Amino acid sequence: MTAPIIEIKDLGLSYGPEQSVLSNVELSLERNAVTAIIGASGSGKSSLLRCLNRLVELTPKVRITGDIVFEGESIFGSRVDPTILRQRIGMVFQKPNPFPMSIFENVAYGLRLAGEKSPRILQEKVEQALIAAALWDEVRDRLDARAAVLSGGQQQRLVIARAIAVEPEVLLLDEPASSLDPISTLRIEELIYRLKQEFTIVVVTHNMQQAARVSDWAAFMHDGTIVEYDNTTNLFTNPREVRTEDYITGRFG
Amino acid sequence: MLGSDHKQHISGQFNNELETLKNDILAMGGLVESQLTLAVAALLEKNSAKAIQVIQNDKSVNELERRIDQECARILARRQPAASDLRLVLAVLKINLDLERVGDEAAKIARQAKVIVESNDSGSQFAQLRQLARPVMQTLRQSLDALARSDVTLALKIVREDASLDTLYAEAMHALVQHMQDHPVAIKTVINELWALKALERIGDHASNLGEQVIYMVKGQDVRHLAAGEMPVLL
Repeated sequence: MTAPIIEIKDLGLSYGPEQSVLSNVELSLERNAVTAIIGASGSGKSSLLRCLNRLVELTPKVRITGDIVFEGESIFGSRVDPTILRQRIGMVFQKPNPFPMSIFENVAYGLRLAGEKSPRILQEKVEQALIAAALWDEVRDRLDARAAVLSGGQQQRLVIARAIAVEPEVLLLDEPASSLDPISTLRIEELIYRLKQEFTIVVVTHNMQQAARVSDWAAFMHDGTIVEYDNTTNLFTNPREVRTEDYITGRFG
Repeated sequence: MLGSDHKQHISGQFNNELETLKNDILAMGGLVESQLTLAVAALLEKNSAKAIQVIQNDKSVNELERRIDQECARILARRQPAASDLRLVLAVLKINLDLERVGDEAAKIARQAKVIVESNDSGSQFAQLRQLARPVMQTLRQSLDALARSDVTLALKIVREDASLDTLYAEAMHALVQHMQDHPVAIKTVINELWALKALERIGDHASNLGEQVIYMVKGQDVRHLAAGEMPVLL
């Protein structure tokens, strides 16, 4: 692995005393690769994802220990503005959440927030983001239509377009296809594959076959810790840990 | 036990499918082993009834091969197995192919036996064939035991000892060539013996392949095409 873009060091997370969610998490994320985090519900994978862009801090009584180093700098440093951090590390959620506005404005939203006013540049960047999100051909003639008229799969690609319009370095995907039909799911997976040329991607998924299909690296989480982290082929053909083996083969743990 | 404990899957149906697959590949092993025993007996005893029996049974071997392949394809398509389950299915696919070839070689030996019996040339005592047949049959038996018990130690022993079967084969070959030079009249029969000898040597190779697949299935390590010194530490 070349120099990792993100290094998670002895990360611990709790939602109040007695409520430990993550402990001793160590993970190095490779640049321009897709890292999948798999594990059962409650294993802490979504919480870990939310630590990476400090979204988790919006939860009351949260306590974080350890460190996350992004491009050589701690994301918890005093000079780090969480809003800027979240532009650099974008996120897409399980259910597509387009804003109640037009398709165009959804994608332009982050750009406007970042102070972009030039209509020409906005037009250009919205188009680029929609092309990159493989949605342009389906919406180019109706950019002013409300985002709500799009299908679920299209909405999810719209949300991805919105996330990548501000040109983040890392894209966090939390169950990006779990509410989509199989064809829309394959479109998202194909999109993930293409987007890693430009971004580093971390995807949390319940769907093991999906993790096996889309990721270069895979981490198996259980009870708030990383049980095993390896390249995806190794993890799915010859895992080192019995707990990983039991989980990915569907055995009683 | 063959493979890891498949009975712990949450899906009972998946457990059943793997159980059937394991039973069938072991049945395939048992079938080709008895084919080989019968074929060798047909040859050494010059018994054409046994030879005919082997040739007829080969159809069942082929049928079982197809059924096992279909089961593997169905499991891959419907279950998307991972880790030890995936390695089991992949190993069974290859073992199935090797066992079917063992069946073919047994049928070849049977055909040579038939030719020799029908030629009415009772001169040969098959000294060389006897010498190779016993260790080859033993190696095949051991490879099937290694499969049935997921015994990596035994599998490794088989892979390592394949070279000694090759040496035996080369010696037997040399002796038969010498015999032909000394007794040109016997050439016709000896050529048939040579075919049978070659078939036995191939069976030894298939047993060795089987050992390699057992190691892959249990340990996830590919030990094919490695020199003796390159073998990884497996235990």
